Amino acid sequence: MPSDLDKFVLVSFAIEQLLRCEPISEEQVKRLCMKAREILIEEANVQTVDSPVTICGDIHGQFWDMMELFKVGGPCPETNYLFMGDFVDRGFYSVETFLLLLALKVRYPERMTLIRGNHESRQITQVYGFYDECQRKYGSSNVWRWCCEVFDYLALGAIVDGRVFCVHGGLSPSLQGIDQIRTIDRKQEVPHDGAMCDLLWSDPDDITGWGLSPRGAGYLFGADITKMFAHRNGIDLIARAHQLAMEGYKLMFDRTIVTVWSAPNYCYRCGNVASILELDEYLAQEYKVFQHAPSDVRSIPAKRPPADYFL
Amino acid sequence: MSMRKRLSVSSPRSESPLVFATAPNADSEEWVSAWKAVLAKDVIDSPVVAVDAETSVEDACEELLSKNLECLAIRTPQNSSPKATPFYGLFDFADVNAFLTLAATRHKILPEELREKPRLQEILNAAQDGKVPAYLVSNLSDKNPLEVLPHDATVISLLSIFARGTHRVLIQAPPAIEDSDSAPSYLGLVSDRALLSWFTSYAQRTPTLLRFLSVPLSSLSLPSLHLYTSVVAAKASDSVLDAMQLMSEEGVSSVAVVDDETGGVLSAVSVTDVGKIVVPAQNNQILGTPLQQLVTRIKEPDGSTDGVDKFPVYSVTPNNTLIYTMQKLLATNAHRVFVTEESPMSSSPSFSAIPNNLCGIVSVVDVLSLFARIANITDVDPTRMQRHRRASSTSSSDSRPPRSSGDFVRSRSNSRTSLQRRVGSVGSFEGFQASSSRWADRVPVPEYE
Repeated sequence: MPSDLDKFVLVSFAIEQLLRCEPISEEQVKRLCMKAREILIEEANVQTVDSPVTICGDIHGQFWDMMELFKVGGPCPETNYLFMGDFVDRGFYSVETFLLLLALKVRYPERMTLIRGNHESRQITQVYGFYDECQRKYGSSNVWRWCCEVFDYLALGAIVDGRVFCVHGGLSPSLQGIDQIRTIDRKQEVPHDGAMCDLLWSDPDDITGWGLSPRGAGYLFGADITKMFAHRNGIDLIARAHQLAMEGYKLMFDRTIVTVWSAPNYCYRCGNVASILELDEYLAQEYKVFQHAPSDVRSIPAKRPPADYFL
Repeated sequence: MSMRKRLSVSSPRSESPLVFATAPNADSEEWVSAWKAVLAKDVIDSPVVAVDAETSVEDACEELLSKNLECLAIRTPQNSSPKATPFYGLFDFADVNAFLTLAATRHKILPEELREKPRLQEILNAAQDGKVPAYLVSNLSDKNPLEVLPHDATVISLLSIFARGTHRVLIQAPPAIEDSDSAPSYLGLVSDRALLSWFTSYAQRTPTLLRFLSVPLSSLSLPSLHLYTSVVAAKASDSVLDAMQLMSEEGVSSVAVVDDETGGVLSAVSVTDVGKIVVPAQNNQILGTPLQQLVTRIKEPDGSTDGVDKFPVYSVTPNNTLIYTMQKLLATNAHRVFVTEESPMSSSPSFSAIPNNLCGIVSVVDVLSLFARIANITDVDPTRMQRHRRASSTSSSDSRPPRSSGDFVRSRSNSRTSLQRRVGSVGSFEGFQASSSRWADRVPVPEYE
């Protein structure tokens, strides 16, 4: 049975390797995922987080841009981080991105909070790239399967000092109070509908009340819903991600809700900037904007390898 | 004089909506008379876009894609009589799919089939000569007939047509009085979705109807919503050609893509997707590609500019209400939603519940057929064209029994999944001339080498 020291060494080696954007071995992945699950299973559906903390939005496998993020926000554990999901899919380095965040979580559990995004799902990752990337890098679907099992354990939201509510997507007509979120059984694949699905899929929109989302899951919700939720739950701000913000972040509804987007030049072509939200110990907000990593030999692969593993 | 049967006051309507739907009563009469007062031309949602009969199939498809249209009207060929209707027929992605499937599987067509359907031979001959004119492909799918209504037709007439499974209706302009010999002109096109949108708005301002529609799907009798009955589906590892053939032969415009292991629904592929991605001038590789890969290529551009990723398959559960289903169809701009449920296995502890188990499908015309029944329209049969298509399928149907559901762990659903791979059957466009490869520009090329 590996001792705690062994586990510490394992994770530290993994972090070193992953910081160089090198995938770790399948065996290392398996052990890392097992360890992560042990930690995550203890977390609440809405994890309590203390300020100061730096809140980040979608990363989508853009590893080198995440390195830019750490330059701007400071390395973990010196800076406390809260990542609001969508670590994988679309970008070319979903594997390294997610495993690094997971390794940091295991190494510094109090300094790194990870909550689930709509892409942390078997169904979505089979369509949007993470599954294919795992196949390409490891030759089997084991890594994908283990990561999906970890996804099932991720918290659905977080709350900072009881005043800033963080969730990947948005609100749900089934949930008026944050307390109600605590009663969800989250350890499952993201459902097609219902409260858990809505939290990861909904979007704020300039409507009154609720509308069905054109995404095919979750809802659209207006300023009235947002303000009522904030008021009812005693929170000052809802921080969420899930939608591209060209300027890196977007405040809406008299600053009651903000979208934080952390994938600059999304899909390597959108030309947007990214941001992180720094909350200090008084919960004062500072938005730090950053650009994509300079194009060098490593940042964008010359060509995406053809998907020949089907033949 | 129709029979009038009043529901007994004691039975709450929500308990027997089927009876309600077929027996006129005060509420439904009120609705129907409101519908009779609405003209079809007020529901028009798109202009009629026409192309000449001799336009190549590729150019016609490009027209659909570049103008983001669902359907084109094909003008009558030049040598026809001047008094003929201006349009020979319609052209949509279902027809494109039928054409591409024909092209890819032409070496398997039996001579007697060609004799029965001379049009197929005409298409093959034209292809040999290097250009297939669009009029030969008009309604090749058997699902896209040309339906026309006069300018003063009402919503009721629209319902009669949609209730037979057609997806769009042309509305004529009033005849020009001075020149009664001139060919008719058209005000525009009413799509099935436009009519659904109208009914949804009407329901939202009519409490009695809203109440009626707020019943679970499982309690209604919708023709395609036979829960736990066949839904056309293919496995994620089946090929693109398998899906194309399924759609063509089964007379459907999309197939569900199910997980090889669990049988749960992953996503769906439609004739429109095929129209965007499959290029007859390209090599055969695309035809043999696993469906899962096609889905990835189709979904890739979606949301890549605004981060608004969509759910891979639009679905509802049997407990969702009809009004919710209607709203979802409209919000997602879809032609149909699949019905899925968590299906717990019976007593065996070694099997776990199948997530997203496919158990039915509800399309826009299915919903409209329900309204047709309320309006007491007879001959409501939205799946007729589908059945007709299956019966006259071009491939040798005897070599292809529906794959039994024993291949996956599956409890009740009987989704018809794709065909067993025929020995040595790889679809091929080889030798099939196409006049241009402008389609190639359309294909979203991922950053492959």
